[in-house]
Amino acid sequence: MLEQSILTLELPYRDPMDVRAFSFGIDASGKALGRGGDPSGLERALCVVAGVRGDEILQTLVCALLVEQLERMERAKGLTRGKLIRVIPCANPASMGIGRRFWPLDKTDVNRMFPGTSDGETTQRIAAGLFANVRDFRYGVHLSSFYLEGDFIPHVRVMHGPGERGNHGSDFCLPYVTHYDPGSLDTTTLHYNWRAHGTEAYTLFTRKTTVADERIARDAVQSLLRFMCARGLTRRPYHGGYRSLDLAERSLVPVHVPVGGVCCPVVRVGDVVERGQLLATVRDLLSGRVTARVTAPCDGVVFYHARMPLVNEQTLAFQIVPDDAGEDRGSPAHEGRS
Amino acid sequence: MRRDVSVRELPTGEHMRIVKHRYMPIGLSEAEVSYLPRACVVTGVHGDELEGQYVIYELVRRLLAQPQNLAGVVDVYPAVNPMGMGAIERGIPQFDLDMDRIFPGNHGASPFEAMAADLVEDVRGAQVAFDLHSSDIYLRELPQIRINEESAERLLPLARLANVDYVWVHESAVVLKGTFAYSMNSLDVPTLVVEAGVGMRITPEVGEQLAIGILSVLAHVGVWTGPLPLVRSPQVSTDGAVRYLHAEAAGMFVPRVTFGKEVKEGQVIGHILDCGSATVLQELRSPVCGLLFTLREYPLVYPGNLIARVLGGASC
Repeated sequence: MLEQSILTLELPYRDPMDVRAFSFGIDASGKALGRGGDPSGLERALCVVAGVRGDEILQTLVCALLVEQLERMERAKGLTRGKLIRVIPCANPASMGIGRRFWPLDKTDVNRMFPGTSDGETTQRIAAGLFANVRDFRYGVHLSSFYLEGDFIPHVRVMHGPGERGNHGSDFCLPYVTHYDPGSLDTTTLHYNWRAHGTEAYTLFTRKTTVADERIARDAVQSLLRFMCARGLTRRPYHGGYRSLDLAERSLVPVHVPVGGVCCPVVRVGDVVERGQLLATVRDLLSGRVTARVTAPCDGVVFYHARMPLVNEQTLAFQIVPDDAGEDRGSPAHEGRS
Repeated sequence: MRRDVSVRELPTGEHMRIVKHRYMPIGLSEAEVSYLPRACVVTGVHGDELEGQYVIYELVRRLLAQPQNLAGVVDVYPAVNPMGMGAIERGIPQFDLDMDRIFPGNHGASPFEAMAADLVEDVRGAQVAFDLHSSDIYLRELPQIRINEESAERLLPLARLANVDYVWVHESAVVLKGTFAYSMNSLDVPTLVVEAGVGMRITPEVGEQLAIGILSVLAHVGVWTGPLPLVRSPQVSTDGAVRYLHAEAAGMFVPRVTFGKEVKEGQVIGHILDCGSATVLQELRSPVCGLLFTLREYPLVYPGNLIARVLGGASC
């Protein structure tokens, strides 16, 4: 394992921000990078990035556990010779260090700044510095989070559009692979810019974001190892997982609450529900009176569940994978966002 | 006449509303004015930008003072991000996305995206629209209009009438397709984006200047027939004429120039200081002779923060 500082930035009244990358590989002579192997001749095979936003704690934990696992594998010569794997567990330590999702000063989102510019604003410079270190890999995986708070069934998002070279998202063996067309807002994400520069990119969504749940994190590590195995980056097989269902994001059925109030869900992500089944009740915050019963509009599986006790009228409370999903991978009706 | 354009209930029973104030010729009904030209003035997309509040105050004050000169309809939307305005936050509280990146909105998505769609529907059909922004809290801007080059041919004649100091015709960027102005221009409503002043503050002279500018455009589209003072002739430029100065150090920025005036090439714009050690970390000098139309207002800077923009080409 080779640990490097890939990006530093002076911060006022704080220590400089230091973004660390961990690289793994076995060179042509069979020497591991951690034991003096030469990284220069390795093919840039896989880059895994997390913590672009400061509250993506679970995503960072996934990468940290992956670093631990890859270090063991490299030592045991369990990695395929000639392939470079790079992991960046926390791309935005300045925000994570103070518990902020976005940039501490101007609240900008680094995942809306790619590919960045080295002479631009602070977060544009961070994006440019990161991108210089993560581009030109054959595969790229970004562990990211949704723009609305909530829990998901673990899944992989794959973008239609530039650089599309077939879909292999099912190699993660997660329950779902969702497909979407990028909207204007998506053009500044890491995923989009990886794709625009020739990397086969995936965004991996874990069940949660702001928690350090080692069991969920280890499941995600296993999915990454399955992907690496399918791509010939490891020398031993990794079994298990799901037979993924590919579906267009537009086929997810949104369930909105009709009134504002306290939302009390009675189902969780992954539950199989029937049309008309109660998903949640909404109560008046002050009187406790039930003001709405939110029911499933179709038979299916709960894919997303908003994690907000108080909801506004029209809050997206659930997304359902309908039973007939998977027949269409086309353009979504509206943008999904990472 | 005040009405709700879009309403969604909050968990506490309060309602989140986009409100519109309508001003129309005396003695005419809603049905009768539907055939008249209409102008829309939108502000508060970003909840920490308050300069637009004083612009609409000055505009409406003038409309009410001479109602006989109103020949069409003026719709004023003071706070299209009402929750952000109330919390003095740029974005929408509880929502990660910038409201000016979610247009034309979506009735099938979150309440905020649905409200954006309601606004677009309401403004649709107008002869002209203004989207009034301040700068953010970090920069001070001379009153200016920014035009996407795709819309320049149509918007530039209107912008020249708007009593601003500067019109910036900028390159098209895909990410800007989510803005209110881009959406409305796509729907054939000529929409001018105004930037002026600084975030979280009101600069009265800016409000007066822009209110006169809006009246001038309203007169052009047949909504206003009242007397107008002479409007100023703006400098017009494309991206190439604008030079940027960025911080390369982290510290406290202190300006050494007067904002909004011409600066000479090499003139000191300001210093970035490490105050505890009384050290000048960076001296920023103007790269060209020109108009200093943007200047850092917020003292704390990180490397990369924009300090100033200078419109080159002046003969100084």
